[in-house]
Amino acid sequence: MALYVLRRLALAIPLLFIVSILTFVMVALIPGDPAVRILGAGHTLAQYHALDRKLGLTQPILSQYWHWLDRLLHGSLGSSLFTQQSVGSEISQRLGVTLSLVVGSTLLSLIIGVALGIATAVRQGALGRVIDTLSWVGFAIPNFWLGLILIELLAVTAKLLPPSGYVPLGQSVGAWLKSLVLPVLTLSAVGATGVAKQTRDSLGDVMSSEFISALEIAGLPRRSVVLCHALRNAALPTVTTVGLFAVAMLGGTILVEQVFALPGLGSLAVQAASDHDLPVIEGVVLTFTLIVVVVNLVIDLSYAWLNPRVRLAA
Amino acid sequence: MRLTNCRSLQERPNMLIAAAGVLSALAIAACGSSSAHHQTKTNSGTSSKAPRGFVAQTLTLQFNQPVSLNPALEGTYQSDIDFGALDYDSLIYQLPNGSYTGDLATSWGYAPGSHNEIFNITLRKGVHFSDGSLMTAKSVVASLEYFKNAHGPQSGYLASMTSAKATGAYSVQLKFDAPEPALPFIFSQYQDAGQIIGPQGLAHPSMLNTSSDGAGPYVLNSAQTVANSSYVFDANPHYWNPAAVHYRRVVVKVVTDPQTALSAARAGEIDALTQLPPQAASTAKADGLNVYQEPFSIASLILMDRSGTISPLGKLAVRQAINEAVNRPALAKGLGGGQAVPTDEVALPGTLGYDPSLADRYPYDPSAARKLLAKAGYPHGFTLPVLDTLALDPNGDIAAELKSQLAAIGIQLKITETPSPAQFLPASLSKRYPAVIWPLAQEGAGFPWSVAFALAPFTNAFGTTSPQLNELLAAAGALPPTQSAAAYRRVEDFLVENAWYVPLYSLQAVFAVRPTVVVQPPSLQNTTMDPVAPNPALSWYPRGS
Repeated sequence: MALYVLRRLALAIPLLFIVSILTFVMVALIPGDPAVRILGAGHTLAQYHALDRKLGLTQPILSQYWHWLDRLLHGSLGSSLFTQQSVGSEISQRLGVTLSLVVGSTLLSLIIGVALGIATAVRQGALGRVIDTLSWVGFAIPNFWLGLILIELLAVTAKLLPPSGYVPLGQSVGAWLKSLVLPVLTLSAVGATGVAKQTRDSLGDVMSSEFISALEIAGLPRRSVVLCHALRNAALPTVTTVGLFAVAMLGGTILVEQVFALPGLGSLAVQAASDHDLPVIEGVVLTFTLIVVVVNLVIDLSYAWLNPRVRLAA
Repeated sequence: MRLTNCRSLQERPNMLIAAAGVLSALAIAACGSSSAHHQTKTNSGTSSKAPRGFVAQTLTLQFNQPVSLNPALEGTYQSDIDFGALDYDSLIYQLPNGSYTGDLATSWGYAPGSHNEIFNITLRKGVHFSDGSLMTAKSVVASLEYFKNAHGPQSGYLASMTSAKATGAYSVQLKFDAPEPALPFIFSQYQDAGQIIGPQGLAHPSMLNTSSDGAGPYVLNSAQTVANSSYVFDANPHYWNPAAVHYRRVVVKVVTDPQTALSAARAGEIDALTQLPPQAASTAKADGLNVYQEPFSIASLILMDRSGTISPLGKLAVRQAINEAVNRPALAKGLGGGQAVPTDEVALPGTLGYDPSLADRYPYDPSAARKLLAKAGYPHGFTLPVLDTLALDPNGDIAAELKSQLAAIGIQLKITETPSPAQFLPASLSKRYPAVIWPLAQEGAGFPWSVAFALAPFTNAFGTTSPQLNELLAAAGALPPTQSAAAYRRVEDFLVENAWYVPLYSLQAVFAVRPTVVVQPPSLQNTTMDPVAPNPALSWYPRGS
């Protein structure tokens, strides 16, 4: 198992390398000059050129990439062209926010989705149709719109939760949880309905199989049949769906962080892209890529745990 | 109220001329008190109604994400201005009416006969930085030199500063190699170059990213601050004027989405919104917030290729035809968020440079525009590449309207949109676009600032110059503000008659404040709103205190 994990992580290195090159090239292709964003519009050309030279932006793109890679191999992601803060520290300040959102939303999607999926698979009928409808509605509703509605209902009108902002876990556990409720609800809406639909479909298939009938004929309680036998056999597609939604939620944080004014990686990515702040863009993209690699690894490991016939080394 | 009056006056030209004359006179009078060739002394008279010292616990403000907490590197938007003003007092303070009063400086002025090239500053005594050290002439010189060399947004404004010398323990003399008539503005809280940084911060500039070293009313509380989310500022125990500090703590919440910001204000979590789009003004009013708005710049089509290098814009008749083909009142009504003022001048009514006699120089007249085009040799029009940025023209609305209106006289605009200034500015420099959609700055320094801004490389990519304009600008720039109004009107006349620009309508700065907070409203001469001031009556305080 440990060897498998190490092998998968080692395979991520060339992936990160390719992603870093693609990001560098794409940012270089987009027209834009950080110097003019830093100085503003009222300065002389000589001042812009001087700042370009100071930032190393007059060097050929390959040379810029080599310098960035050299710093990376020495353990540094460089500094933001704007704030002059280290990219590593900017990312570490914001990583907790984004991870809180993604992990919280994934867990909530999993819990609500699986519970609803089981309920509808077992009972069928109207509840199943409601879940079907909700899953389509969940896909159709833009999460920023849902976020604004939740703010209006639960923060402005009911005054139950803060409308925006973030409190670090270290400052207050209660305030941290409260600051995450609305954004996590917003992000999980699609995931929960999607997971519910997938669970219902795959559990329905398993429930109609012969071994389930055999277990029922053998006199096992229905609850035990569903939860201990059917659900485990139906879990693989659900786990895949949860993994896909976790990655989608990572992308969703970009909008949700804007709506709830959360200082996470998504809002950092938006700001850096707008500013043409290449070191920060590279840092954020690599972090996102690493998170995706880890999510995929966790999914693969959970396959093996759920179904021992899955050979990890294969 | 004043803007509404302006609009109704547009329908009554005689009254407009009379009112504009009065407004101009008032503006000139205001500017007259701002600074002078001789040393300007100030006092900061207080209102008897304003409280003195602490009267409340916390004021919560909404800002955008700061570029940097280091004043020499921070941005130039309203949020950045306010961010810096909380923990860094400036040398000079621009009052809401546009005139200036002392802050860290008690007096200042251009040396007589120096043609605005030598500037003397006398500093306030007994001012301490938040690190406890005393502010002296040497520390001010070191701070100004740091700003000049920091490669930040303020560096350019001090580029022509050839020397900064401490001429006494509390007096400083600055020399420039060209006239700098806007120094009181540059050293005010509106710009940041006058925000003096303490010796510790200058010795270790990286610490300024996460802590304060200024002589302002507040100090950043790094322990309570959550970067990019919530910045906590506590009252500075060393502040030189504690009577002007009414809140023990100011919390700045970073909220960039206007709808989220309004929701937070409705939920009572934010007291003031400092950067709202004009379209949000009516929503803010409906939410029970007090809304303040003033024009801070002019949406414009800037005709850069005035030498005719790649387009027919070299012909005066063509530029004038474009000006006559634009329906400014319709643009202001449709795109200006309800309060915009249409204008065909570079200066707005009530500001320096505004010439009432040119108020309707280019009335909307497509048939006259077509005749001008025919006279210039373009009876069937032509195609004009135009650069725009969605950052300042959301959804490309201005571009789309101009395209439609100019198509009526045969000019086909070929619009290129860029997402942000980072893309717009280099493209503008490329000389591939004879015209760009970009605001002409109005701002607190008024007309001279606007013209300098308009002649900067990005809005003058082809480098068009005119000896006549240079002479007019030099003559006006060397005059004391009290005597420069007529000279700047001549500059305005040149720009309007030669149709270098197609000004459209004023762009509004919008602020929304909960009724529980007493604030100083902005004005046409100073469109910022500053929660802190070196004067108890100007600093914000809770209503009823």
